[in-house]
Amino acid sequence: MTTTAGQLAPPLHDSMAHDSMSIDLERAFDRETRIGVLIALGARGVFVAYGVIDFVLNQIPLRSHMPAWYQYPIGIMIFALAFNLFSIAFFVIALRSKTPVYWCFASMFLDFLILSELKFFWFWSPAVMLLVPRFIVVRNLDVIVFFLIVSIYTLPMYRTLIAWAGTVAAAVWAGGICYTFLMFPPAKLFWGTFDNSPQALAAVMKPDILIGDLAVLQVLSLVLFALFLAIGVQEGRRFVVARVRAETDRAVLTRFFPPEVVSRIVDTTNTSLAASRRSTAILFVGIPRGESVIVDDFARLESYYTIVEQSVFAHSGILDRFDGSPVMASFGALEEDTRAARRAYECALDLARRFSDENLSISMGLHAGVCVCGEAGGARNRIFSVIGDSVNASRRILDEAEAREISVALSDALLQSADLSAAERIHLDDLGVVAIRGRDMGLRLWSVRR
Amino acid sequence: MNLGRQGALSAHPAFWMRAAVAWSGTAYVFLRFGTAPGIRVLIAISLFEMLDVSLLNRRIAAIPFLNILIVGLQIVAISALFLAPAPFGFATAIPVATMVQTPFALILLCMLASTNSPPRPWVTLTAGVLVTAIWAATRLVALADPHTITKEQIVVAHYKTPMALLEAITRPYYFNVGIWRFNTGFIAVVVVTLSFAAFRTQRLARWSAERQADRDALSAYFSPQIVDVILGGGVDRLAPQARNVAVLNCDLVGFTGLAETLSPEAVAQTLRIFRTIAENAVQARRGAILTHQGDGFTAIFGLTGGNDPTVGAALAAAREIVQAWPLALDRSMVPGVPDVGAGIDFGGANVGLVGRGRTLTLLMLGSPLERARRLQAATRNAPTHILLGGAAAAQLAHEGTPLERDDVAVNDIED
Repeated sequence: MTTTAGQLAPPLHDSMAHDSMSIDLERAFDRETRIGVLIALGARGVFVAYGVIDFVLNQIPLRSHMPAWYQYPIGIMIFALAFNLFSIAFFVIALRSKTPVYWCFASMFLDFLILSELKFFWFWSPAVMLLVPRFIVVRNLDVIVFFLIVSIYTLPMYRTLIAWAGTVAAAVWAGGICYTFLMFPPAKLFWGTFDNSPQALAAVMKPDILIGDLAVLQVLSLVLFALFLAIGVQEGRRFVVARVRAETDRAVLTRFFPPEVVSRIVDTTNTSLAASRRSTAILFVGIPRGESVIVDDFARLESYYTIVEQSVFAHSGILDRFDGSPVMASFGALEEDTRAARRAYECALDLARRFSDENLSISMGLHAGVCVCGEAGGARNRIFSVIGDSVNASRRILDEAEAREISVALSDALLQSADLSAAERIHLDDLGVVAIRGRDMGLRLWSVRR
Repeated sequence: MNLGRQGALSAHPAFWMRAAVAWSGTAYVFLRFGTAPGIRVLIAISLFEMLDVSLLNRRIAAIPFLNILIVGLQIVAISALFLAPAPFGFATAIPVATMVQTPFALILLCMLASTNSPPRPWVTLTAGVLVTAIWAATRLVALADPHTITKEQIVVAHYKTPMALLEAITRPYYFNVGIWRFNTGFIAVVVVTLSFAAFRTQRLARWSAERQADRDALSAYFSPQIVDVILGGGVDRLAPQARNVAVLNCDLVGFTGLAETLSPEAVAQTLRIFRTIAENAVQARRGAILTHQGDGFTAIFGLTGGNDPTVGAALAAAREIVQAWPLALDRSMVPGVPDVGAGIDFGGANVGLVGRGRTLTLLMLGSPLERARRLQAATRNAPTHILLGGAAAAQLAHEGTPLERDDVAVNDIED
């Protein structure tokens, strides 16, 4: 028998894996767009309702004792109420619609149509209001309301919607300024520089003077704002896709390689998983003995695997996939490592100590030799394999250790490769040459004294 | 293999657009307002751009606090241009009451919008709070100026015509607190909206990554179709429990010895072919690959429920592998054809998925696993490539699938 060390993520070039990811992502984006549409329409409805309530409670009483021309025309009231009714209608329709984003488009167009009427008094306002230029809305930065509406339409995460919102908002704002300029013949356009003195400023800042730079900059700002938001949504989608792809790269790698090795594989081009022949140390860790509870208790089994994983990764080892049977770890399989056998030995001692602390009796078998190590997956799975007689031999050593109830059994080959000091060898017992299935000559084994 | 670059974001388009806007703005001020104002803008924009370039550094970009600090400094640099007195800013020449009517606030909002690319919710929120605070502070600065006129000093009733009133409220020193409050509120709502949008994008990324982790983990065992079914119903439906399953253990007999004589690439390529055949045969019959063990594998059938035959499916998969393997093997790389040995048994076992996301693992505990492994090992001395355990043979008869062909033998292995 040979065994593998590590089952990696589906290959990125595999069309089936990619299709599944794309479908999952498209569904996720669609769901977020639907939720975003409802939030946007709901938020917009709240603002409109607030505007109407504020108008009824504050503006009407405030203006009731003012000159007649200062009071709000009834047309604006009708518009405000219509605005509110449409908010509720759009929300309800979008809630039931299969393509709610289209209702966001409709709502957006209506928003800017009504806002432009409120700001620039196109058709529904009494004639008296057309006697004054509406450049005051330019001075007072009423365009910020347009910024707010555009920003709300970011929530569905739909780039085209924002692009349209920005375009319509800029067009409506520019159109409103031009309209009021044309409808108010005494209006003058100031298109030049001034010397920043109070007198020069006062000469320019008149209600019938449209400061060209200010109007153009407002329109440009609106366009830029929408453009940045559209880029933000686009980059946001790319961010999500990149995060998912990174997860695809990392997910299964993380289960089998130590974290620093995962980072190196994912972040650099230097670490190759191509198959090659390497001197490798193999450690097999058996399922705890005499613990009948563990064979029924998955939670206990998971905690057992957790201990193995922590120790193997701490000693730069590579893990095989957990499946309910003894765990295999390899050392030096990814890169040439002169300390591979030493690490395997230290990992075994560390595991023995950890399981002893948990009052669990386990057996381990260690061997070292040349193996073929590298990536060799099927069509859908990438698998990092360690193939060689050493793998078979270390599994047999584990069987021998379990039969003799020895904690750590290691071959002479590993002992030589690990380069143990004389002081360390004092703790080893020589088991002699032991017959191992598949080996004509047997193997000289050692055990670590408890 | 380069996994890192496939997941990396390209240079942010927002960075290039910010740079284009910043330098175009500088050129605009030079051309329209002359050298002295142009130099002030040039200094502010240079500082802004230096800070922006520093954000392209991956190490700096990875530290949220530095991101917030740099964007904050950029906002302060641009705000100072409008609100600070000479020689740095224009506030001495133009009253703040007038300055708040310039596109100052709009420029800050555009900056804020550009911080959402890529989504950094805390940067957007903190920068937005700073923008709102700076805008709020303009009131204090404006009202501190003794020349400032407020709405309280304007009595609407005194003005007989709309134009007269408009004349009064468009003077350079007129500061409308009501409008200012209104705009402050709108700016704050824009800040909250943009931050919320960034938070939603981050949350979507996190959720999608978790889902992908589940998919990747499940794909190691199941076919894409079964993965879809499991993800649709939640991984809990495969929680560990006692189930009757058929286990297929399959191995390339003698391949380990052969591998010693082959090139590493030939070993890897041979395994790839074998594993592809195995995955296709097993997963096409709703089976799960529990684990690959070097040149062998273990598969489970009957895990996904339903009335599908379990042993019948395992036997059909084993037959397909035995037949397809000699035909698919690349003879130019491997001398001879390693035999396939397959052991199948049936019985009760604890099987299920444990963990979440990256740690999602299919575990199986029970005697059929070991019996199938021993049956497979016994094929070395058996006349057929496939050995069926006694329980599996009985289950096969129960499923109504007669053996018929002589490519399978029954071997009743004891536990």
